[in-house]
Formats: sequence, structure tokens, C-alpha cells
Amino acid sequence: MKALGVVLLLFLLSSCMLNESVYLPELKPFSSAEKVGITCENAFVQEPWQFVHSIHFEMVKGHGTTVVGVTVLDEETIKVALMGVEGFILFEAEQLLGKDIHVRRALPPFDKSGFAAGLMRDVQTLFVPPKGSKQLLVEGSNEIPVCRYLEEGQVTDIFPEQDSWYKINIYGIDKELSRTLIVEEFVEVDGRRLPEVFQLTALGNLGYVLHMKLLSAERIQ
Amino acid sequence: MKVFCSLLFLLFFSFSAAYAKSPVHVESVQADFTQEKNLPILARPLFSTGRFLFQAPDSLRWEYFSPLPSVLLMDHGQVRKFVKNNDLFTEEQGMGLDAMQVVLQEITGWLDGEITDTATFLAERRDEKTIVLTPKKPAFAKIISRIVLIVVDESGLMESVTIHEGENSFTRMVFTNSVLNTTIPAARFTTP
Repeated sequence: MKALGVVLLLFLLSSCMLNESVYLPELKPFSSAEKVGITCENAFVQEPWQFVHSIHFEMVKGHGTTVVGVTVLDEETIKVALMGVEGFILFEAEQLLGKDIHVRRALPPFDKSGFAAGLMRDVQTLFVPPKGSKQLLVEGSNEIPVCRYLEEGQVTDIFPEQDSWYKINIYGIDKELSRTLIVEEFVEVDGRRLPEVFQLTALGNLGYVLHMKLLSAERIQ
Repeated sequence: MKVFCSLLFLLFFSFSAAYAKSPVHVESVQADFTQEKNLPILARPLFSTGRFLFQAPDSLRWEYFSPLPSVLLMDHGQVRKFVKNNDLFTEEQGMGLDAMQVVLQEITGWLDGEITDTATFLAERRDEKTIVLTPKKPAFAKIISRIVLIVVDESGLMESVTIHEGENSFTRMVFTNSVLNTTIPAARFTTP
């Protein structure tokens, strides 16, 4: 019974956290920047790849569902498809980086305004290294290293991999935390270390959590 | 809607049994399948494997072994879906199950009856082995433009089914190890 109470408390706390505003923390300069610079962008891919992930959607207010996500990346383009687990296409789009999104197919509810832009934003969070100026900083008394990227008012904090754990926080122009990516497990594929199990949390009243697992990764020639 | 292609698989058995010159009464069907998915955005096609079980009049087990283990179960018209997360099957809620039940009821009704066009599809036999299904409603045709069924022989079994979703987008399922009219334990249609 006590254990159940603890679980319920944790659930309530985690539910509240999705709606609780978190703001950009002040960080201190890092003393030995060289080492951090090597690991900050390790989780991003620079070469063309095709990834397939299972994605379990978990909405703040309601049930979730599982879909299969396909991402095809190269230096200039992101192509994305969402499918039911049986392979039926729900959403398909592609985007030249920095250009408009071309939606090929979008079945309800994936045809709603803003969905395509939100999805592409999530995909870029996962796979594309942030642009803008970069600072090497530390957080807290334990001096956890952080790479901070500043771009047009948006701030991206990357916590480099430590003990197979990796985290990205993204803050909006209002300095409020909008997205968090936590990588829990990595896997080696074709000589490349890739995130295997991770979750992306979008905060706010319409927030959601994506629990993702890498099903396949192929380097494209 | 996302599970609709599963229903179409069931559909081909019904059609094939009805269209064969000497149709075999279908009491049960089991088959392995390999599924190939092609999309314009893909650098390489995606492949899945699984197994299909059907028991007349309306029990179905549609299971994927890889890459994402999942099971769709229909028992006496009730549809449930499970996806494996962290080595445990978890039941999925919402999205598309109601629409699927309606179509399944329509399809399973064909097994013992004479097959004609349905409320959803026009059926056309192109040759000895090929049946093409075309959606009647333009709105549905935007989702599935046509389905091509290839019959093995007169046994009522299928060689493949190809679901065309749009230009250069299709899903092809090829069936092997098909077994007709053997006893399938009832639990296979109720538990993942």
C-alpha cells in the first residue's frame, strides 16, 4: 500500500511537471571546455541515414497510442512518415532545412493546423545539431557541463553524455522551457553511436511525451 | 484508420474463396506473411514479418513479429490491439477501432455468402489470378486508391495483396505456409 502511495505521488508530481513553468537557468563558465566540445553534438548525425522508431504518444490529458516513425535525413532535407504499426500511412512530409514543409499526406488527426510544423520541430530536436553561437558552461554545485546554443532568442542547452545519459533542454523566446529530450540508452550501428531509447517531452497545456525506441538504422550511400 | 490495412488482408481470403471456380468453404486460415512498405520518401523499403490466423465466422489474430511486435485480435466482433513495450504487451486505446469493426463485420459476412461489390469496394476479376478492388467513394480513394489480390489457385488462398495508398506508395504482403481449415485454439483470438 505504501509503495502504491509513492507511485501515485510520483505520477501526480510528474503530471504537474508537464504544466509547471521552468525558466532558463543561469549557468557558470566552464573551465576545461575542450573535452566538452567533443561530446556535445555526438548524438546528432551528420551523414545521410534512414531511421525507424516506435513512438508511443502520451498526452497530458488522455490516452496515448503507438505509431511507427520513419525519418530520412541528409545534409539538406528531412523526410518524415508516421505509420500505424501495421504500416498504414498517417502522415508524410518533407522539408528542405530552413524552408517550407511539403506535406504529402495527412490523415485526421494529423491534418490539424500546426501539427506538421510541431513534428518537424521535434525531429530537428532529435537529429539536427542546433545552430547559433555556442557557450560552454556548467550547472549547479556539481558543475555539470552544458553546451548552450543561442539562436534568434531560442536557447538550447545540451548536457553531454555521461554514463549513457544525455539531455537537451530547449527554451523559447520567453525563456520558458518548451521541450526536453532525454536519451536513456545508446546503440552502436555501422560504427556510429546512436540514441536507442529516449523520450521527448513537450511542455504546456497541450503537452505530450514521446517515448521512442530505435527499431532500425541504415546509413544511406 | 491506422489498422485498416489489416482488415484488407482478411478481405482477400473472402474474395478469393468466393471468386474461385471451385470455392473451398473457409472455416479457418493460418499463414505467415512478409510485408514490404514503399514510400516516395524512403531510401530503402521497410520490411515486417508476422502471422495471420482466421476462424469463421469472425475471429482474427493479426500478429507482427518484427520490427515492432504487436497483435490485433478480433473475437466475435470485438477488436483489441496490443503493442509490446518493454517485453510486455500493452493494450492500445482509441484511434480507429470503431471504423475497423464496421468493415470487419462487412467482410466476414462474405465468407458463407455470394460475393458481389460491397458498400466500400467495387470488385473486378482481371484474370485467373488477379482481383482488383477499387473504392466506391472518392473520399476513401484518397486514402486507398486500389487493392490488388493475387490468388494462389482454386483453394481460396492468396499469394499476395498489394494496397496502393497513392503515387509510389504501396504495401505488399506476400503469404507463405498457408494452412486451411485446421483447428485453432480459441485463446489465440483473445490473448496476446
